[in-house]
Amino acid sequence: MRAAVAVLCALVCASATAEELPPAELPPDADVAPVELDDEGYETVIQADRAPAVSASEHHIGPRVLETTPRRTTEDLLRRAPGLLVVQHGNEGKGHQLFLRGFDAAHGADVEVTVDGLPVNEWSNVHGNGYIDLAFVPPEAVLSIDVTEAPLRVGQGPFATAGTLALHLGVPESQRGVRVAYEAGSTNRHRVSVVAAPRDADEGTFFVAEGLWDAGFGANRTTARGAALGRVRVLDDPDAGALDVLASVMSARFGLPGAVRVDDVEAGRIDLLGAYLDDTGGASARAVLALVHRWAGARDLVDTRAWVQLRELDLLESYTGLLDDPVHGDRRHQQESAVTGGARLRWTRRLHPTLDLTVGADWLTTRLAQRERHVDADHRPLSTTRDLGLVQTAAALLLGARWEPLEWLALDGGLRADLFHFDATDHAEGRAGDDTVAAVSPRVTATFLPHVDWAVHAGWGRGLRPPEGRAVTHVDAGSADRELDRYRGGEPQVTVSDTVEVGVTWRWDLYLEMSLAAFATFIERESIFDHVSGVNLEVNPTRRLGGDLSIHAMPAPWLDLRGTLTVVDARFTGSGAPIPGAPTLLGTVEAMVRHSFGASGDLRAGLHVMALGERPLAHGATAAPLAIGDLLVGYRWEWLDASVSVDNLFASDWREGEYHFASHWDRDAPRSALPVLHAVAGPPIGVRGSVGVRF
Amino acid sequence: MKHLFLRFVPILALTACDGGGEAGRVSVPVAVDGSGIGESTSELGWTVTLTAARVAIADLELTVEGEAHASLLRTVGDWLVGTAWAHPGHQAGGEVTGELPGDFVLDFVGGAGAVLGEATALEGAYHGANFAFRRATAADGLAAGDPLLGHTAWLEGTATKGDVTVPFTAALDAPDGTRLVGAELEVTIGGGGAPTLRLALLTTDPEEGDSLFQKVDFGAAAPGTALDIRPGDSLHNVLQRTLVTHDHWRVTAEED
Repeated sequence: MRAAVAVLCALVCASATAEELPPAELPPDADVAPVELDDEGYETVIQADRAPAVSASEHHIGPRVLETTPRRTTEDLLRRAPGLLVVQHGNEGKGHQLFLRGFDAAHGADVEVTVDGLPVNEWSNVHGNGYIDLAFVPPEAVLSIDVTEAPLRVGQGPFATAGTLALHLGVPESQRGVRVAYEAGSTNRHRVSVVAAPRDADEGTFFVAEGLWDAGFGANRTTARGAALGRVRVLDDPDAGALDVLASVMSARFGLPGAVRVDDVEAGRIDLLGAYLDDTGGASARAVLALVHRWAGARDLVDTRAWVQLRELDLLESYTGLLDDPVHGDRRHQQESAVTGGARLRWTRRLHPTLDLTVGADWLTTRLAQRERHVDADHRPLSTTRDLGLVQTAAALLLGARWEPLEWLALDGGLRADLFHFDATDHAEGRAGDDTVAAVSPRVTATFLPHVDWAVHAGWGRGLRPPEGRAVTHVDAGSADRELDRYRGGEPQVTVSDTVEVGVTWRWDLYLEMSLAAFATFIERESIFDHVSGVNLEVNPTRRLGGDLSIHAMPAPWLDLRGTLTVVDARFTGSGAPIPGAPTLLGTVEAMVRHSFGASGDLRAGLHVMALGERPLAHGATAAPLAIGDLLVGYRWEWLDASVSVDNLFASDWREGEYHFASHWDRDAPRSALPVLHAVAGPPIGVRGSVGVRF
Repeated sequence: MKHLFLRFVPILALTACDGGGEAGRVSVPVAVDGSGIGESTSELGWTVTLTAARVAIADLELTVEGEAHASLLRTVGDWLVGTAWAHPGHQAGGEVTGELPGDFVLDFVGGAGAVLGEATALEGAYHGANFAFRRATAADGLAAGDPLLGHTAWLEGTATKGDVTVPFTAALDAPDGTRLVGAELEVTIGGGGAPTLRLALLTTDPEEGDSLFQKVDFGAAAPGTALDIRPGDSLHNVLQRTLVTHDHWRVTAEED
């Protein structure tokens, strides 16, 4: 029996991809060293909590880090991922902009995000392909995050051209029970959260709800949000397996202040925290229902997930003011309504003690209606620039294997074939079209273990991003006297990235861990999303060369020190020009304290400092470097839990987002079509205090 | 890569960093180029010589192709609505990073060489030019009774075919909002270069060899009379549509 369990451990641990199996579900590690039984017959089982790493740029962010992270949203937790820059260029409630390894991933076009294995990227979203919105996940529900920086695992799906962030849901044992908390902040923020996690249930069973209202730190930044997320095990049978139900509902409304011209700020015409318009904003809603089934046999592990999702998004913004329409203004109203169904299957079989085989299949179908209209100051439609009905289906088959031919060598590899089909009707143009595109993505890694404390990794993987649905009904450019106000991007194609990476990880006992990776990513047919025009621009081939360094020191059981540094040189291969927006230097320094005083309570504290180097922007402009610090100090005593967070500890006047485009806001000033620097303010120094009670 | 590390060191000492900055800007004179006005022969056999050629335009824009894929046409911000676009030029698809805003009357015969003003341009490699066609007004400094007043273009000259010579005049009106997109331009601005841009109307398309008057039948005039082309005439529409296409416009750069 122990042998069977041990084999099953190895099977599961070796085959599971980081984003698919939450830590709590993995059976004990196969490499159990029998412990001499004591007189009472006890034995010790070492339990692994995740699959072995296949690269030096995979990182696990566990409860220990997340507990000490100051956060307003779940996206704030993502900031702990090494090398990832998370920018909010609108307001809390709108999807964030992500930058990773030289990619300006816009709202998620190049970073795959999953929540308990469910894809979050919204394919063909009206605001941006791959749009990510994590408002349906209250931060208390996030147990851990697995970061894979590069498309090296066969299970990584569409939008993983730069990497994958896999969020695992759950409430750790130390926080289980019923907890009600109230948070107040200096921005007139009021948040109530409820966490219900039965102590006698596993960490994957929980219910979390939140209600939030925040006036915001500047003009037109009010946010209101309600969300609930729960997961419960409804079946746990050794023969039938385990079946979990996950459900979430969310609704949010938020202001969108837009970006301000830096020259206006410097001239005193507007404050950095101000907004040109006070009538722009958005609304977002989502409902998700998912079933997760796992079954483990003597040599097999089968993981099946199915879900349905309802989604609504409404955004009213103006980036350019009066530039294009000096009479009515350039307000753009985007709306989307979507229904999605999907399923994912992974079957792993141990063929040999050194060989596991994984086959998988993914399916996703979305039926959506999206519209974009030019509206006036009273939000009355002036014209329709997009009115699209779309049914799109993504299907994938994957085949992977892990082979350990030698004690010091592990080979992981596989192939996935993705197919994307569109059926689109453009009601504005009165045309319809359909198309199918496909891509094959090989991925292979090798891990060398010259010593128990060392690992050397090498890998190559192909990532992919599907085109968006409106590409199917594009207008044929070049005809005489044709209005050029429709999306044109040529034939829809899958954007493919090739990444090669080498790296090393080193561990010194329990005190020090270090990882160092060097990578190169090449894209032959790059496409970059332009927020101002709302189209994807096909641009010339690119290459990204860089490295990541991560150091984690634990000088004492109660103290964690972390430092990360990511350096990237991202350029167009033909001209050598830098890729706009991509950070060249990103570093973090973190100190986390967790100390128990026994009956007197538990202290937790986290200091996180992020430093960003100068960034190239479009047309030769540059974004300023910055350094931002956040602090959290919390104390837990019996039934009482209190914390204080300070955002922007150094009270910096910082620009969270910087862009270079043309705009015109002053009717009395001459219109200029020249691009200038625009900025979105980062939050000024702010304090949030939270008090909670536990039952 | 070394310089990247050196740039990182002072960042840690700064919490609110000034820095970053705008792209470099260059002032570039723009002048009228009359060298494109010459004899042209149409497919109907008429050889045309212009004695006057004036066009009212506005808001000259200079565009960079940037890293846009060369084989496709697109324009950033081209979600413009309610705008009548002329046939997009082969140089279309760029971002506007240079401009000379304002209203101008281009006199390609009597005013060749006149400087329209100083365009402001970000440093870069420019690939095309755009501008708007408009109706000339008294604000352009035109005298009362000037034939260009209220019109987009005034052309005057003679057309000869065999033994027949027809004097003609043409007052042309482009539809409101007509823009020319993608006039040919190839110049690098910045990096020490200080070119003068010269905007030319070409009576002969250098690519195709077509005349500006390619489909105008001057034989429509009664023998011995001048042909007067006015808005509403069938010949007006033919000539106007040709005038506003990129084929007959060019911007060149002349280093000072």
